[in-house]
Amino acid sequence: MNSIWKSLLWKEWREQRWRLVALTALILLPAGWFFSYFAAPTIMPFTLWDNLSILAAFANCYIVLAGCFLGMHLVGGENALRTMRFMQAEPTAMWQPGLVKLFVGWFVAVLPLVMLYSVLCTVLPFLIDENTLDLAIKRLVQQYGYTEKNIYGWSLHNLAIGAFGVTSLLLWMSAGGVNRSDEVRAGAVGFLVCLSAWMVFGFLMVWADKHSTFWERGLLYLIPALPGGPAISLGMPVVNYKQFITPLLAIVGIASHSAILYWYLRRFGRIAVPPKRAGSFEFNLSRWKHISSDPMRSQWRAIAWKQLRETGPLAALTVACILMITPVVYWINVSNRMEKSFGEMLGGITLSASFFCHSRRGDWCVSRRLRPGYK
Amino acid sequence: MIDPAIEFTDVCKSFRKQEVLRKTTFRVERGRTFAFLGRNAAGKTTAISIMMGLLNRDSGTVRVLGLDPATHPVEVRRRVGYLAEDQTMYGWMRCEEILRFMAPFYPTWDHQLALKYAKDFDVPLATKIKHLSKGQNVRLGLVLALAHRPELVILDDPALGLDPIMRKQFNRDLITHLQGEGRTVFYSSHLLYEVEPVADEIAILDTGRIVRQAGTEELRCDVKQVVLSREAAGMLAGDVRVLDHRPDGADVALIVENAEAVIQKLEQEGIEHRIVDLNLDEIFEAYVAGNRKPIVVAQRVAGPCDA
Repeated sequence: MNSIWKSLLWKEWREQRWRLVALTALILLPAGWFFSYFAAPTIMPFTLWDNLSILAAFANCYIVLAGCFLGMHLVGGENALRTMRFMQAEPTAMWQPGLVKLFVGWFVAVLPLVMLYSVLCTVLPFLIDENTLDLAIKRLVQQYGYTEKNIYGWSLHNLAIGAFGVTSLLLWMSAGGVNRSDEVRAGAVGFLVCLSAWMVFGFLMVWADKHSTFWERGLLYLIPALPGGPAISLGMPVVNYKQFITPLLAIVGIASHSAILYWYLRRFGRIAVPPKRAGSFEFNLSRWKHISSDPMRSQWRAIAWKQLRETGPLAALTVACILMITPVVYWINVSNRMEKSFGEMLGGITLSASFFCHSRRGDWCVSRRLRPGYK
Repeated sequence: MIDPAIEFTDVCKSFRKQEVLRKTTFRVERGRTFAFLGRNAAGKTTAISIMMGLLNRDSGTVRVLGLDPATHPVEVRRRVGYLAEDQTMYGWMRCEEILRFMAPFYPTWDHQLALKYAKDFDVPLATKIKHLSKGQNVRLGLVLALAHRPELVILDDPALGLDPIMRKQFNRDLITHLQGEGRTVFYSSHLLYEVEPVADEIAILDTGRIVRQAGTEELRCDVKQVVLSREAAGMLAGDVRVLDHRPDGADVALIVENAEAVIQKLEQEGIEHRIVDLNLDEIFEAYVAGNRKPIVVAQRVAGPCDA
């Protein structure tokens, strides 16, 4: 290792390669489903077009999962492992390890997508006759308003959406959760930052919708600046391509994400004293300490109390988020005359938030409690 | 004129309302082993963090090897070997991997020297860091701190958590490899007996202030315990600096600064007394936890037993 960059790249690769394996395994699940269509066509209930749609939808879910998962580990990992102090004491500016972390994280997130679409492009033409494949792709592109004509164009377009989306989410999550004391906090704060950005945008759009068409159209140019926005905006000029000035969308996306990158690099590792409480996931509830100081008589009660202290705040935060988001989304839908029942919306948001909460909590249990030196 | 290795002048640092360093001033000359002593939470690690450019001071001036660590942190870290308190390294790396990983960060890194130190300090190169014992971990940290031939070595409570045998071994390694080569060593600790055999100079930090800085021998000669009667102690207390006093049977044991002058005065006035030499542990205790309340000269009241 003869340069600082090489040394840092080596370290990050060694630390993140298992995340690459995990994300590849994650994307292999829908790929396995998709290819089982060819292995056992009589059993599979869906058509080729259905399966391609499912695969593309899952690849889009992957953007969110990979962005959140990697973002929280990138910025919370060093503090959680208490190695930040060691890193800070090395004779290098902190933006260098910060940048390398982000680059390797991006590579780890994008590589499974590249592999997925490369395999699709390579294997599908051998498995299906050209006409059937072209027909399926044509139907897909018509549905989504794309202009690509064949499997290669479609794959490239989806790959670009995935890469743009993952890059944007990773940046937002990293910048939002930077310097948090562990991965769970980094993930929670990063996710809240992303959510808040979209909420603010939603409010602005509702306001603009009622007041000014000019502002409404203008605000759409902010979409590339939002978390995951570049992926969405990639489809915008295609859908309404006469309505948008594509270079302006690109400029907004690049400028905003450059600013976020700058903010992240300026902040990474700039903490006076790495938090010593990194080893214990516990919010400060000292004000609400139970009044009785008697020792607990039952083991079950003691375990339940400890569990509540550890998970209660995250659960409360999740419930608060659900209660806050649902009426807002409902109100936006009603304002836009979109049909959706309140109950249906509450269910959907609760499911998403619970998934997020459980994934954070599960990640903490696995990554922290099984770690040597956990106190 | 050669710059001192470290120069702290009137340095203040607060964390919100908590004042950690209060006009801290000291100077470490090159080639010396300097013991920086203080109780837990006295401000030792904060002072070291400021020296390494890991924290910014609120006021005052700091020079490390002639550089201001707040403006030249990377340059300072390149020239300083630093072993942090309870240093946590990357557990998944093997010892030889971390040596190779660290090499590019230091232009003066000598890999042969690193391997030699690793051998001298019994660091198992093929073992993962997470599998090292506490002692091996500290010694690996020392190898990393020394392999780039730093001009100044800063050790922040390095022997914390080591057993007594390990601590002795660590200090022996320190003497052999650092003092032998004439390097400047800044050794922070709260265990005085640990630094006593190695330190040339001592500074005692108490609640963010340097309460005493002196050569080790000078300190031993200057601070002594004087045992004398309560009345004599009461008379003496106004003229000399008493660091600690406690009853010693019917008499009082005073720990005083400027012992030579005090003894001379007692002899001139013909006051009966007894001198007790102190070790550095006792001197340290007197400075940071000494009883400074005025000495009460109790009047003896004749009781039934006296009759």
